[in-house]
Amino acid sequence: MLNRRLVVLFCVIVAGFLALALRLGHMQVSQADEWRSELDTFVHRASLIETSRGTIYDRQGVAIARDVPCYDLAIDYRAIAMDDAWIKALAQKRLAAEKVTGRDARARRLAQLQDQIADQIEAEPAAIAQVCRLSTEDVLARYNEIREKIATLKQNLWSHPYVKGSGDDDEQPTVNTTMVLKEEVSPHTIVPNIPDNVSFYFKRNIDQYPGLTIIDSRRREYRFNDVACQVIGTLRSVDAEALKRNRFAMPAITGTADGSIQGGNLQGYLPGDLMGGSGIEKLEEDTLRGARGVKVKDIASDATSPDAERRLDPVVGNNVQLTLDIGLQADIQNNIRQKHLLKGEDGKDHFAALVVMSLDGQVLTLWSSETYDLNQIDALRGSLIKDAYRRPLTNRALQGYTPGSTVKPLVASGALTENVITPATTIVCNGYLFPGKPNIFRCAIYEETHGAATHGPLQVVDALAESCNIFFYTVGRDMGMDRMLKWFDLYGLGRDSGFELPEQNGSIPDPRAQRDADAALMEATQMGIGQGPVTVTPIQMAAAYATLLQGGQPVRPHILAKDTGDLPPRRFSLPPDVVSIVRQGMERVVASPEGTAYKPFKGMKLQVAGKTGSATAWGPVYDDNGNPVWDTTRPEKNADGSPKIGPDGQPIYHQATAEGTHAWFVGYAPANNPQYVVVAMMEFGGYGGSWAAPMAREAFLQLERHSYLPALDVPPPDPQAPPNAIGSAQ
Amino acid sequence: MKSLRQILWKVLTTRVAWPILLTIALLCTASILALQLSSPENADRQQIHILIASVAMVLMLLPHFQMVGRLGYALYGGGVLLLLAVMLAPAQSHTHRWFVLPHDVEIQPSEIMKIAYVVALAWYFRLRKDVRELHGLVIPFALTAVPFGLILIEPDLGTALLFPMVLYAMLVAAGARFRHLLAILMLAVIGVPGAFPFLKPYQQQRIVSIYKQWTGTADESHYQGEGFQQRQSEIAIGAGGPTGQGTQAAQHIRQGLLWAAYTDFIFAVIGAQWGFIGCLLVLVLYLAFFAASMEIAGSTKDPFARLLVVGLASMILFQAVINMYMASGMGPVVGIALPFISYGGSSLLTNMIAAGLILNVSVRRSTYSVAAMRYAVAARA
Repeated sequence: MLNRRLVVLFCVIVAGFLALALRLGHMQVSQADEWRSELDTFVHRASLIETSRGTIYDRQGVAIARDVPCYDLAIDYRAIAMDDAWIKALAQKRLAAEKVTGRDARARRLAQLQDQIADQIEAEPAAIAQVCRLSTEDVLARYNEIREKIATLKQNLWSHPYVKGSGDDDEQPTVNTTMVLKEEVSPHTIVPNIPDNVSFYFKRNIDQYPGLTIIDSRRREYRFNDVACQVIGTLRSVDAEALKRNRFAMPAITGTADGSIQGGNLQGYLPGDLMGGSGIEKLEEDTLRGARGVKVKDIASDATSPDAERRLDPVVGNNVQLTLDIGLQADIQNNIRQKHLLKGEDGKDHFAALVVMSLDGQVLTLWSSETYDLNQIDALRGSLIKDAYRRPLTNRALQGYTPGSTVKPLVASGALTENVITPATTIVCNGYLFPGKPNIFRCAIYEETHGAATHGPLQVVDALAESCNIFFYTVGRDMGMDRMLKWFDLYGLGRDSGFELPEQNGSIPDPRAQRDADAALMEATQMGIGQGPVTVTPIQMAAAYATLLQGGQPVRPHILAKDTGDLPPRRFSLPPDVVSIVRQGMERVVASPEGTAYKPFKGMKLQVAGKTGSATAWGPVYDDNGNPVWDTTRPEKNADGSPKIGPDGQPIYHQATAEGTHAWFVGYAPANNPQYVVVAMMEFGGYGGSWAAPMAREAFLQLERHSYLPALDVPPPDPQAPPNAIGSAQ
Repeated sequence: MKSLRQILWKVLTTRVAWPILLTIALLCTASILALQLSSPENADRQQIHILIASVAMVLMLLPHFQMVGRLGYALYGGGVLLLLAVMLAPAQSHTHRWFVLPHDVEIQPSEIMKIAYVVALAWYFRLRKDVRELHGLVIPFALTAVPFGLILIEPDLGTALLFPMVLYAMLVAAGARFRHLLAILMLAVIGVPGAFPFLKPYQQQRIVSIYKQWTGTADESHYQGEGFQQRQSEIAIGAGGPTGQGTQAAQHIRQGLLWAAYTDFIFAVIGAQWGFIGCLLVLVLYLAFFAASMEIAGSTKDPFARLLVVGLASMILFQAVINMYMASGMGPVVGIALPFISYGGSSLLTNMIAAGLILNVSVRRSTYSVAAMRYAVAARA
């Protein structure tokens, strides 16, 4: 019985069992908690509940941008992943419909069907691209986004705070959980917001497209299409930087004392999410963006028990209210276009900007003439970016331009306050500043064609009304560079206005820079009429005039109704009589027949005041089709001085530039009780009184029509119509 | 020839037969309990399987084991023919493992071969003295290589590997020199990398993933693909804890924690439901079964019967070890069922037949008498 060899055999088996027992003891006794938390991730099936983005309202509470329901074309993740088990299940479903008998035949047919389904799935990207008029690359890129999204979600689940070895943000977990996410077995959007006929096509031919479904979804609707497009802004796919900064993190779904879902970052981004790409959508991204919800299904519980499903409801994004009046802006835009007010002195359409702002800085209209339909942005984006001529993505109200004579009231207020001039100071205009040099530093009216007219002797009020350059050259020279810069700075010209949207600051010379005394005097002289090394944005100009009209009260232009920004630290005080003298000048600009803006406002009952500007500037030249004109006398050169050769073998030239005149008008109304400032600017339009003032006039008319100003020139508002009806925009 | 009644009476009155019967009964009970919780519909069918297999076990008691031994080579030959024939049969899920008869009855020749092989080998060894020489090992290894090779190309790596393991157990019992066995083992270990390029891609992948898993370098795809089932099985066992999670565990498993847990991964069900204690009980039952078999073998004079018992018992035990190692993440994933516990008729039938043959030996053997043993001990001294 005691066979030694059998004992050896027995001992070998016992050793094997002992190792197994040790392993089991380790797993089930020492490691049990860790395995249980692994089990938890299986037992508690978490899935995300999508949220929606906040609405952007205008000052009247009109929704400008909002999420609305739509249909998306979506694909089951298992089709993207070519999940064999899933394909087999589909094949079995098809087989069941075919009534094939016999085990072998069924097996053969099943294999055939599996191949067929796999082929159909492989053909899908091309088919989707064809039906939805996209490129196959786009569709495949979207597939990749979905894959990345799943990968992110899976990594997230592994890095739950209660799972050991996490907590270090920089360390990406390398091992993924084995848990099957709901997202892995559910559809994901490939083409958002498909039209009804596409949806119908796919619904009817769904057999040919395994994995494709039409799902209810949400899309961003911009109800005013192109109105204020640069201000409202657009959405785009989340970029790597934002993904890193605000990454989605799954909350802890188990392990909390009361079973609540805690932690994580549900507001974070997943690959493929949309984020604000420009304008208010980008500026207020954190406000508008909602947080996803989480639904946790405990598959081990009875379906009827309260534990079976726990959820953390999604948080809808907060709404944003603007000071903008979208109806006003729509009407101003449409009327300017309908009345062909964009035509400049050369008879061609020009690019323009227009700002309507209340004296306390609320921006009611921020218009840039080149617009695009926000609802079409995905299709348009490429061509918009490439369009260097129209630059529709640029908001011209936030671009710097040479201000020209519009600075004269500001300069006058400075000179009067500094006692450089008095209201009675008389300066004689001979048409040009320097005796014997009639071709430089001239007055605008000193033209041979006009019989070399001059203003003769005049005081500050008339100098403003008639926009005499000689007067303000003299003032600028007498002020000197330091004082000119001080006053430009006090009015915030060429300085960040504090406006919320990204703005070009414009430029003024650095006061601390060392400069040649003669050159500085020349610059100061030029700055007296708003020429020289100065550029100002229309919105800065609006703020500067509001400051002037309020005796030095700093104004920060803003577009968000909840205005939280600080005022610019530039408080100064203008003597009331200085303000009244300057206002008198600006009133006469419009009211006096000698005034530079007399004609455009003639017959208007509303008392408007303001100042024209005709700023000389250089700009690139384009032909009538918007193609750049090359200056063949100025070839571009490489670093070694040899001419640069383009890919077509032709030398590359600099773009031709030409001198032109920006037309400006900065006005306010009512003249005796200023409430709104309007800045109109037309790029290279010509004289401000002729080409910018009519746009401003249209803005004042619309302010009347929209009940911001007394309706003196337009029919009184229809009491039946809703207040501030949206007008021609639908 | 004794009557069936006499034989049954003999079984019930044989001391060494009792543990065998008892452990098998308890393992089958564990099977039913585990199935009732994890897949109740299969529990009912398994009860029928147990009944049928028990009848087969009783039938195995009827012929004298010597008669079975005389049929050994014929059985072996038949088994090889069936293995060859199954290669020509249509593939089922890309493998040639089963014949499919009408009414979806499946016959797995490798199951038949397991018994035939042990009987044939035991019959071959019964009078040989040359197993102590290297050349005497040639024929046993050749007898092993045939089913091993045929099953390997089915392909069914797990079952194929069972044959060399059983051969080793029988060689140890038959008296082969340990140094010969170790040398051959070393040769095999060196030879496996050489065989690697000839394996099927999925087998290569499996080996690579086992290697990665053991070295802790497994990546995500391992746990999603090959290792998924095993990982889930480990979770189920680990989460069972010391005393198990009872019906809750069953619900997890029914909800898809472990697909098809009733066949190869049934040990995970036991681990999840009854925890460490349940697992230990199963281990003890298998050890008791093996110990009882070793006692029968050790006290049997007839060399054929002794080797038959060793071969059959180790075949059952090796399957149990491989399966439990797999379920607890200690070994590779192979398609080997847990004897007497996994759901499935053909595997149960094979194991019951093996148990029947062991019992056959236990009731018919001529034992060493105590006097003879004393004599033997004295003679050695």
